[in-house]
Amino acid sequence: MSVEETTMLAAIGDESFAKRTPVIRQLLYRPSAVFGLAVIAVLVVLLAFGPLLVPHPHTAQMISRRLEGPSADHWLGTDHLGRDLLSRLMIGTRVALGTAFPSVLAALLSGLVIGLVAGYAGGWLDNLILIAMDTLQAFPALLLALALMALLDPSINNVILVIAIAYTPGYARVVRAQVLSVKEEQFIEVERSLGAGHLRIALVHIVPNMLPPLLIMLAMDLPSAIATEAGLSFLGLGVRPPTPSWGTILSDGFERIRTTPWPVIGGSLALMITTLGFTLFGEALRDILDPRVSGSRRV
Amino acid sequence: MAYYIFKRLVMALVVMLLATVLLASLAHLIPGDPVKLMLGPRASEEMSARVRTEMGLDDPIPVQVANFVIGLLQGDLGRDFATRSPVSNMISAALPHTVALAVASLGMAVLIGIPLGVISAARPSSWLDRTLGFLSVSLITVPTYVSALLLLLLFAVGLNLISSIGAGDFSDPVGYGKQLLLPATALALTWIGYLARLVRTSLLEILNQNYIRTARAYGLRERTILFTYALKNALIPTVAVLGVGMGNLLGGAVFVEVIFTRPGLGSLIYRSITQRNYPAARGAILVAAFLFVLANLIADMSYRYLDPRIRTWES
Repeated sequence: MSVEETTMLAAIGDESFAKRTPVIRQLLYRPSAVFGLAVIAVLVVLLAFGPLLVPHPHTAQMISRRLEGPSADHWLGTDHLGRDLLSRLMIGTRVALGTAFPSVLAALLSGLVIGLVAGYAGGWLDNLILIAMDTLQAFPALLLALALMALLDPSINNVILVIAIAYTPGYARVVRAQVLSVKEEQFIEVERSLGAGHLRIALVHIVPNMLPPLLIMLAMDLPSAIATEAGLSFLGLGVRPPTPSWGTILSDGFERIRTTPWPVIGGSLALMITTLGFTLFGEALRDILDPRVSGSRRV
Repeated sequence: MAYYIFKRLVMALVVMLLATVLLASLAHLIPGDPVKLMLGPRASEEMSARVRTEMGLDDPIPVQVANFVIGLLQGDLGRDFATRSPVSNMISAALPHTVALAVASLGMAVLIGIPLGVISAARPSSWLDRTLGFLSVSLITVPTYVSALLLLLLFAVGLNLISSIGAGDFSDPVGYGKQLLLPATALALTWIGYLARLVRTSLLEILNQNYIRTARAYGLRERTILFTYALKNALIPTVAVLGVGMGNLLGGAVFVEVIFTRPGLGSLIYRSITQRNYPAARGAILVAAFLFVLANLIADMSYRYLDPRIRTWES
């Protein structure tokens, strides 16, 4: 059997495998996806049951035991107010996921609407929207978020809003490109000749067609959004203390880095494991849903 | 090609102009009084009124925005709110430090990331390739401030090898370079991982092409094929992502410069935002945005120049 034949057979085998097997089963065949799923599962459990699982109440202060290193009682030590660091990190999941999910979802939805309008309408409206998106993207995402946060009060809702604004153009572009490529397909023409309205065509035929790439983007943007929130909070422009966020924990740790390394180590670990887990999961999802795309979209 | 360059240049200029307008009107778009924002809620009425007149805030908003754009064309970014020195002076004092940081970290990323990618692609699916692959993803996902804090903790606090404070002076290049080492590494790590992956993917794709098979059939040494024939073409996609990279570097520079207390564009942005120094923040962010647009433009142009297929495809 020639090399070509073997690879062809392998490809055919893969294709039928992909068609037969549900996405979730395919994910379980990949170790990196299993790791990602495990991380996400732990985070979701912490999000839902965090207050029941923490070893100490995350607000309990013990000034006499401040800035302690790890011990049997406090696995990661205590912070500058004598609060249990591990408990604060666990509760910090709320802010991390509670900002990342809504902000990326909002970006996806507004990008969907903007991209649909641009791609479907075409003409001057399309051009106008393109230029507006270009202008927003002229700012590095973090700097746009910083500029907006400078004018808004630091709060979770504003962080969500700002991240959503920074991420919308990316989605709008992808949606627009997809609309343009699907719009001229024959089945759309047939549908139109049968008397379907614009809204029906857009919602029934165009949107379902572009869900896989949007889902992949969503999965890849979540870790970036988590990192952006923690970054803004680290700079004091996101979530404010006493709300525990991984960013504020890092910022507290940075201030006292010469006294104790543990807040920095703990906050770093939480962020690294989370972003790695989400990214590995997102990449596995991408490989399964869209094998043509290789390399990651965003850095 | 000439038409494309022209079109791209015009678009870049339009975007820069619109970005300027957006930034200049941002304070007015958001509800609330910009002067109240800057001075804080306890500012006296006279003080607010004086600042308002001085900054031209009594003019209609379109006039203010137009004034800012006209000033910008003359290199005037307004005056710093606290010290009253021109914002353009603050930026030109800060910018060289950020450029040095960006160049050093990009250089590091290229020198380490590309060889890692080549090593992976030379033996695909080996344990070394898998290890490097996992290392690359891990590097890509670590937020810049986490790498900066951990490097600070390990080398400056723990091992006490390098002073963590300040940037040093350009008149002392060795000392400056030493101070640059940790911040540049923190900023480069993401890019080392990213370049390693990108080079690996594009090299593997190219090694499957017919001209490589021909070279092998002629009996050329594998090393010659890899470095002379394949790598050159495999590096083209890396040029295309340098624009995006610049954006990430500028964003990351805020964290790195704050964490290593370096003077620079990033720490200027941070400082002016936390001090509610609106003119300085506006100017510094605008300069960063211009650099970003420019980097994207250059990356796009060189990509087209290096890969003739794109040119033919477009015409």
